[in-house]
Amino acid sequence: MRLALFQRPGTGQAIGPGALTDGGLVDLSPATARLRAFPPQAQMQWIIDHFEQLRSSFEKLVADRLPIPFDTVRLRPPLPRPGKILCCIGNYWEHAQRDPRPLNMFLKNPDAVIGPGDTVVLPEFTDPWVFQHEAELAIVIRGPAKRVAQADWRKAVFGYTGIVDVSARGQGRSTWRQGSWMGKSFDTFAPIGPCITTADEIEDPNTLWVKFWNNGDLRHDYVTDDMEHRVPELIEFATTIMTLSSGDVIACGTNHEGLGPLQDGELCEIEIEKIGRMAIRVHDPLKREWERGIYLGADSTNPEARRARGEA
Amino acid sequence: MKIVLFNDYRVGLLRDDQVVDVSDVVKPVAGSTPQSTIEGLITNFQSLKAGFQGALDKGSGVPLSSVQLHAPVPKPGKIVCMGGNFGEGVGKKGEMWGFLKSPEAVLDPGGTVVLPPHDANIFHHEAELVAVMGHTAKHVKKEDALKSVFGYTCGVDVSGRFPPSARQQFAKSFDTFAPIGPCIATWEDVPDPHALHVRLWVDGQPRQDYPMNDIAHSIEESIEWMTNILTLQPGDLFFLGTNHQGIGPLQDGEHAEIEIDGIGRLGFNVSDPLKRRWPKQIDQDSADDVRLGKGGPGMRARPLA
Repeated sequence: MRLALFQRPGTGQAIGPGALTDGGLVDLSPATARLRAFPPQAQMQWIIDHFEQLRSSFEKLVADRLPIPFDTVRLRPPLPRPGKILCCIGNYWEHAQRDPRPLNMFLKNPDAVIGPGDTVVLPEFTDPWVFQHEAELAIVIRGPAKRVAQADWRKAVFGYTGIVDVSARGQGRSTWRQGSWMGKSFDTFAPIGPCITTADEIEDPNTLWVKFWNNGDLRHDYVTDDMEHRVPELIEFATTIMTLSSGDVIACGTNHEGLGPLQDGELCEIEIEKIGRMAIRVHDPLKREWERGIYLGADSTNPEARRARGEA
Repeated sequence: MKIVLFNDYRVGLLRDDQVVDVSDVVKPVAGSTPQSTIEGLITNFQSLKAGFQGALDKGSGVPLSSVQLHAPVPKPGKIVCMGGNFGEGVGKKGEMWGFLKSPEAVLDPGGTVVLPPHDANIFHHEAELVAVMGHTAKHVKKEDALKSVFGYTCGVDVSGRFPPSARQQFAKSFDTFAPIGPCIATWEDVPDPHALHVRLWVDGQPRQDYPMNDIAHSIEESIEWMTNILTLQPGDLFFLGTNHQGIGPLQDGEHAEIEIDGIGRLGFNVSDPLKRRWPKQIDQDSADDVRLGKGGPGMRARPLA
């Protein structure tokens, strides 16, 4: 099932749960009446914690109800305010002939979440030289999850969604204030969506393709089988350090070969196999301009940039 | 006023060495959590204040020693921290630096910091003044910064130090690595937070002992900088950084206490299933390295053989 949060048109409309189907969105709120007073994040956390009980009534609604056309609803981020967002660092091989690297993650600001159709606002800091997109598969946690062994990883996974780990850069593709990771925590720097695909629909999360377009130009285009440390290992690593709760998110890292700048007025889309496509916009009050296209600088891992540098 | 959470997450006010129960004044709404209760108290403090004052004037109290205190902010939405933010007694002033710490790491007063089995050089205590945010704060100007603070508490930013090859970014985010408390002293009780003094002892041994006016980027500047990056919400915690002179190891079986005048004293225990040992004293190498700009803390430390 592909679970979303949505709003009907008009001002002051409540946010409620829905299921994405081929024909449109099915309103799931008849099965979750008690959630109406909950904030949106608490609604989705409750669904995560009670999904097995809710599943049959959700499936019945999907079978019986006429879907609402997508162009008449507004999708909201399926996790508007996760308790924590953990993000993997450099977790893809990217065609490199190198030694394995230890798995590591950082924390991203959970108040930075935006959703489908929302706008990334670049900060009025002129210190970062560029702002880039990193399209990523994200794991949605079912908790509490503490010290979960790799072999038990499925117990801690409720489903999957997409995230763009928007990143301010200090030099090259190094994150601004290197080592602090604050360059990834500006407000609006965590687009999440369009939905959560439950784990039963994705047998192996390390087989999915991830794509990202900027004004229609393809930037990221990779498969999650290139991940160095795979989903079971991510679950063990994170839960050995901190307790994860339902609705927490682990972003699996990006393949940096398709990095590129985000700049004023652009329309971007992320799509992940079996999850779906989400559009976001970019606004820069300073109207800065960068060379359009995939980043090919001195530390780019893009194959074309590597060939130009004389690397194999 | 000094606000505490105690026993089954009742809301209390400190009156000398007594706790006055004001849960009935707060009237928690159905479905509330301890954290949402505190956030509601912070947001509605002006309307609750008269009731609180009445309880302090007339209400009966119970001895503080007879109650079980909880972290006054049990599950903050975010913990943001300043790094390298002190003059180290020699007027050091680096570029502004911040990071996020796991909000899951919050530990109750009297709780136990559990050292993880990960191969660390050392685990340090960093005693800090912590601001409890009072308003949604974004792009706050220096002049207005202190108005966005609801109050202050004591905090220890427990910090694992790892060999560079580990590239460990979660060194401060292990569960239990954020003891805070014992209370929130509201802003009215702390007219000048830079006049406060921070002390920490391990089993009675003096360790950190520094004035807040050694801060390199003032509390106002730190709030302005952080809120230019992200929005702080009521009940978020802002660890304002530490002076590293006096930092030292935390190790199995120890009891540590942090005290900030005007706020109170917070004790916690330390447990290490691996029973690693370090010299039980101030880690002078690390203090010197930070003061002299020779490197980060804990780079030269290792557990004793």
